[in-house]
Amino acid sequence: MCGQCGFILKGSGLIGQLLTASESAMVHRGPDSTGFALYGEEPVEDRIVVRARLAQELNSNQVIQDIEHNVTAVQGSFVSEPQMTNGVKNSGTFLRLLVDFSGSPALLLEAIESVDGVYVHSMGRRLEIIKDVGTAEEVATCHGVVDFIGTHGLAHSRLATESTVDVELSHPFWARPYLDVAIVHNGQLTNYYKMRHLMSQRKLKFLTGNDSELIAVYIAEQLSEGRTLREALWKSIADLDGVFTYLLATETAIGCATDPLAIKPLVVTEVDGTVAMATEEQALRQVFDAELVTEYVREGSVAVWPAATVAKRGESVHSA
Amino acid sequence: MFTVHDDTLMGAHLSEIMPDAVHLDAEGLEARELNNQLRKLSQFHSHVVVHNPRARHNLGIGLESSSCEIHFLGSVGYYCGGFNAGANIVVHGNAGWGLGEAMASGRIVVKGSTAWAAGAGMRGGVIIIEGDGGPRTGIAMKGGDIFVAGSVGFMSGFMAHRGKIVVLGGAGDALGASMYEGRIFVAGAVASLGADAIERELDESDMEELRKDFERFGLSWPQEPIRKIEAEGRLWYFDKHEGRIWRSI
Repeated sequence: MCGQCGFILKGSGLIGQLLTASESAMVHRGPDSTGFALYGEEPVEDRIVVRARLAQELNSNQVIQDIEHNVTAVQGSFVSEPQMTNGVKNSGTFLRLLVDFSGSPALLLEAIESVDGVYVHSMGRRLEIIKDVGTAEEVATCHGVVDFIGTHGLAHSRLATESTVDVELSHPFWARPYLDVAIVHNGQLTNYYKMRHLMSQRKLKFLTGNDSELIAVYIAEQLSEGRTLREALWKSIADLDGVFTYLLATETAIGCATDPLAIKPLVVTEVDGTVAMATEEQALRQVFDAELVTEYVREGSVAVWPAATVAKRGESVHSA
Repeated sequence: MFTVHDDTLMGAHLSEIMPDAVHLDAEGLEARELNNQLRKLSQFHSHVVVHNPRARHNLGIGLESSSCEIHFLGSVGYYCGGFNAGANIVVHGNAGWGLGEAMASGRIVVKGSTAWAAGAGMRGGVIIIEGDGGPRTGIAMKGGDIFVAGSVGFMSGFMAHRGKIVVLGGAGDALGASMYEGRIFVAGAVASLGADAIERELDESDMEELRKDFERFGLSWPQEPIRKIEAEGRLWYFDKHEGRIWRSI
């Protein structure tokens, strides 16, 4: 079933708090695990934010030393002390790294994941994916999502239908190794293995066997080949088979595509320049007090909403 | 499917036309508790106004027959008015999926638009949608009437067994697919007819029936001609020798 939502603010703001409040109204759609894809406000040249999980049984200090060793070997360096958080319900140690790195993202990803028991959830100049088992409230409180300042983001509550309850299998998914591309998806693909086979032949890699991760990588590949987000979304409707209403975020926009029957709903609204979308209308009403003008996305359609231009801290922000 | 609503204006308006109304705040009430209160209040009052529905699900479920009008001030979520057994419900906003699902009698008026499957499996009563109906409006309905001032989405009337759908603003793809004995009257553009759906001439009794309906529910007669869609009947009986027919529809 799953419940997902996305917000684009006029400028920078408490994006994590909004997503948590909205997602909390959809706990009944998927209480297994919750995740957030947040876009922070301050990109720095050659600096990459890495979010990862370390398997529970590992000695985290030793693992971080190993990661640093591998990162140094590919000419990268830690900008600050790694931040560690213990997950909800003993789900492991969650790591946030700031890395100075100018090489290819795939190289950095390989360096980090060559340490056993390390699963990278996201890499980006601004993107941070935080996902864990538990409800929106639990995950957001545990991982400090409510204090996160950013311009836009996605959230997802998962009801595991075709695989087990697992942190790596929960949404959002990062389109590895493409920086700053994240997806939340409601539905299931029926031509997953065919698509995966074709994409593997093009040397694309996946962390999981989850169909939603495949869509993220698929779109990111299209974008890297020079297609616009809108073009990539349209192409996905032709190429993907099955049920899908998904939200795909990049550094500059959130896009949405639905299959030709749009069985998974998505309601969209705009209030004073803030664009918000959620599986259920009540998730939007949780955040906005006034009566809303809402619209369901149509079957077999795409939409793209541009995110606010990013401002460095201290500057005023204008919407795009 | 855009409709603008203003609580304050609506509130002022309502207090003028129904000064005797009992007011109920949905905020903080479980749907079950709210519905129990509505069941009780509707037996003793002429108007009940529910504030802050906030698009929550399962509001006004299983209400019984009374002379009371129940007004939701704002949009409601899924299954509003489901299993309705005779209540009069007015939604001053939009409604989510499955409005009036399996209702037996009574009336539901939606001032805005509805999402998927309004009147799904309904057996009786009337649903009036002043905006647009979503896809699969009147799916598997087994009686009752649905009136839509705007358009309806794809596969409306799908597998309808009985009952009537009247649409004044056009319909999406596969209108009336695999119907049995339901009837659809539609004005405006129809994207396509569904499997086994066929257009038939309106006779004088149809016109008379519609005229009465329009007068009763205050609907204005559309400028475009009204078409009548019914099942041709080719799906009613299965015979293994008719495989060719089955493949063709």
